[in-house]
Amino acid sequence: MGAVKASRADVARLFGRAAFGATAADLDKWTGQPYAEVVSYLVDIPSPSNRAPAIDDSQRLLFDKFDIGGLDTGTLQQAQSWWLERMRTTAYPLEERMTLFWHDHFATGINEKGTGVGAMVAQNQTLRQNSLGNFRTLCNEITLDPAMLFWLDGALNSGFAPNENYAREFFELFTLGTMPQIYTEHDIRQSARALSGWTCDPYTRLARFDSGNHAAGKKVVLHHTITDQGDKEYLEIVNVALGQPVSPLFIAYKLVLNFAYAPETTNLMKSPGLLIGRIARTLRRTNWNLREAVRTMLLADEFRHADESRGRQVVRQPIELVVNACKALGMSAMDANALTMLQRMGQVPFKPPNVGGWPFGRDWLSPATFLARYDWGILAYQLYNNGTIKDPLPASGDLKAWKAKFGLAAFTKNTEAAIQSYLHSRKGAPEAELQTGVLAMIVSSPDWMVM
Amino acid sequence: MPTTRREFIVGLGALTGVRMLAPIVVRAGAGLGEAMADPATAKRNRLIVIFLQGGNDGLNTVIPIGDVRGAPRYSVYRTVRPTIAYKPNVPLRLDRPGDADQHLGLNAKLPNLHKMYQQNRVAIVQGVDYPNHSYSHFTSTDIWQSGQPEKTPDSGWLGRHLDRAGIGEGELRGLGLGTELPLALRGWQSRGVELENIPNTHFLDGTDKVSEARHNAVSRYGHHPLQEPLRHFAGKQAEITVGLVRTLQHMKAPPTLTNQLAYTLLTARSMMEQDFGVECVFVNHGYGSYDTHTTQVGAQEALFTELDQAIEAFYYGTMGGQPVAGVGPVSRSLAERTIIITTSEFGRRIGENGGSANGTDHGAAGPLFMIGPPAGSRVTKYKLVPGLHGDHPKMGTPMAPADNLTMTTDVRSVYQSVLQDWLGNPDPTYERKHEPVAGLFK
Repeated sequence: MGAVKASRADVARLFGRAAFGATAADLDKWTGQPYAEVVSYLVDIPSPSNRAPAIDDSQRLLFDKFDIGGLDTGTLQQAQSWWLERMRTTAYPLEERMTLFWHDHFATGINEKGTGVGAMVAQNQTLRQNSLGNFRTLCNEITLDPAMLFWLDGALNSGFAPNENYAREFFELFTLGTMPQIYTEHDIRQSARALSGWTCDPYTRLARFDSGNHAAGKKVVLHHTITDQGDKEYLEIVNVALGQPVSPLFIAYKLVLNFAYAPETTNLMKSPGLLIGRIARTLRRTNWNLREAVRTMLLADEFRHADESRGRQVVRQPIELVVNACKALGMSAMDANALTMLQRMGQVPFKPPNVGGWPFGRDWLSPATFLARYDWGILAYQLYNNGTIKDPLPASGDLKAWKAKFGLAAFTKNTEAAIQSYLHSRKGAPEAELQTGVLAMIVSSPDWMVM
Repeated sequence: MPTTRREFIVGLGALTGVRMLAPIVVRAGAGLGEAMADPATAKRNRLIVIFLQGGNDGLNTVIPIGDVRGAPRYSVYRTVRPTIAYKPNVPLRLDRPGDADQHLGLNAKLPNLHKMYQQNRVAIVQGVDYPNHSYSHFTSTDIWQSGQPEKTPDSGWLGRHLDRAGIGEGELRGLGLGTELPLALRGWQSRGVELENIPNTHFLDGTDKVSEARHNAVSRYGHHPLQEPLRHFAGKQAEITVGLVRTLQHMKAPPTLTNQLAYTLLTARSMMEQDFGVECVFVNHGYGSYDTHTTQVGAQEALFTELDQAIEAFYYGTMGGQPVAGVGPVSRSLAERTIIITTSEFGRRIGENGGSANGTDHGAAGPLFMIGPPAGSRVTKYKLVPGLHGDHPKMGTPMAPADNLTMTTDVRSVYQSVLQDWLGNPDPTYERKHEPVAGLFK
């Protein structure tokens, strides 16, 4: 079996979905190379603990030390911009893309319950360190993560009258899903008891177990009995959840939904679909190795040959689009305009709408978000014009160069016709006007949104 | 004067009555894609649904202030809510002249709603829920917005109404005010249009000749072939957006308000007063803040203050409320044709959480408000019947309190009442199984 060679469209799709877009250099470098090698380039990266600190780690540590519950807007914006810029400049784009995926999956947001900037930045690093690691470890760490303890009231979960907030979302959103729902209200209440007693120590900034506030006695969760294991009971809850056959299918479903297409299945046990089934098998076989699960997905024919007529494409999220545009234009994502536009598009880091995470798919295509995407193109040209963006833009009519700059292998027929008709309608107009138009049309095009 | 439906469709292609246009550059010109007003739609009854997101605690909304014979509601309430129960003299008594005393009061942070209740403009439907209740925010939100507890929801209860009404793509009959179209307004074929607000519905590059050429060009994305359904949809939204911008460009937005909900309701009012055919509006409130697992009282009261003042601002001029700077009174004809309904994905548990939580976990049934036209209006076929409807759910006894409030009114019956008697378009899938709530309209 000869190695499959990556086409230009393969490279554009792979980077567009999993790496905040290809640069012109990425397209040239990887087109014609074995597809598995391109995937390996993204996936096989040293773990964060085994490599030299990233240039911006000192900046992160600064935010990390910021008051754990602090809500200062300026600091929040700096931390948000810092992450966006890291997405743009990292040598390991899949790691940041996966960190964003986990931020959506374990959606936690800044709020006055105690989830401040310091807590969010610390959680962000926990997500990054485990982003391509082991899902069981990630679940263990997120359960005791200070930001999460405040966000879902784990810190106030008393053994005397358990608070169900975290237990419910842990099953529904983090590990098991509801396709089908295999857990009962009883399981949630019992899990809340097992998880009680944890709080966050404001001095060490770590989770602390208070046995006096833990519900003693037997808990039966998903037919599994947990008895008086105190501060180890949370590990049992994670193990019980991850032991359910639906759990790897659910995580596979979330990956496909976020990176590839909206799966049609409504019952993961009965009809998961080929791709979800395959990723779930990898998760089971490797005892929850996420790197291998992601590799399985990116290598799969179902990922490469998206059946467009069945809508098997993915709508990229605003953060991906803005970071990709910054990358293409050579513009710092620290520029305040990036964050402002993301606000209008409805997605800024550390502020998901709720624990369910951000909308996905068609919901990103509303008129409000369309306007923001179009305006972002107009604004970007203004930044080019005033010297904020220094990289030269292609001549308005050089669509080949525009495509390469924005990491697209080709324009669809209709998009190309729309741009051509625009150029034709303003024939003879100043070049700046036409470049503005082409730029705005690309970043609001169906081709750029849907990959 | 254009009166056919197709002309109210926002988007290029609408004015010519064809789906696919020849190259737009040939036709480019101001006004293309702009929706035209249709005075005929002024006679439609209107509906605004406010979704209290996060699960509103019903027991601290319509509050027991005394025991009734055979139902020791207040004693149970006080016993199981040691820190978050209101004392009986705090809530505003629901005691319209002529009503039997139910020993219930309204949260004191809803004074305008109370005033309207006393003015015979508010119906409170008690114990609303659906069978086999789900305690998940997401599942339960989908069920409330679809009215489909018996299956995986596939469409919204108002979206199916739009389907039966046979609206066109981009037609402004259902309106979601936000950035994400709620399930409630998604039908099998038809969708409402979502809109953030009026001032933001414009392009950064304005409306001169230079920019209009660009806007005409992005409208062309609407021609993206159906074979790529997601890109086709993305392109259609581009086309609809250009039409929306052109339609709203001369519309006056409400003044900036700190109360976001009030601002949103006043935006709905502006849109409805323009006769673009806007009929059903869906609005979220609270963005999850009603989910009061902890520190409930303060959080809920702050939300209620917003809700109450927003409703007052919407109906200003018909109830002697406080004027809002820069906002005129509502037109009488609109007030007489508009009902506001509040919904939420669930109520909360009867008993509060322990420790220092001072909050409640996810519960089941809760009350629903329907706020209607001023008393004495004659223009609609059926009128909302004010007062309490449905039974208050049972709460057990102080020694054996119930864990949850169980349904006394099926939400589908409430929807069917609204669809049949207010919008004149009953849902056939509800017929015979979910009759309208008896006596809610007459």
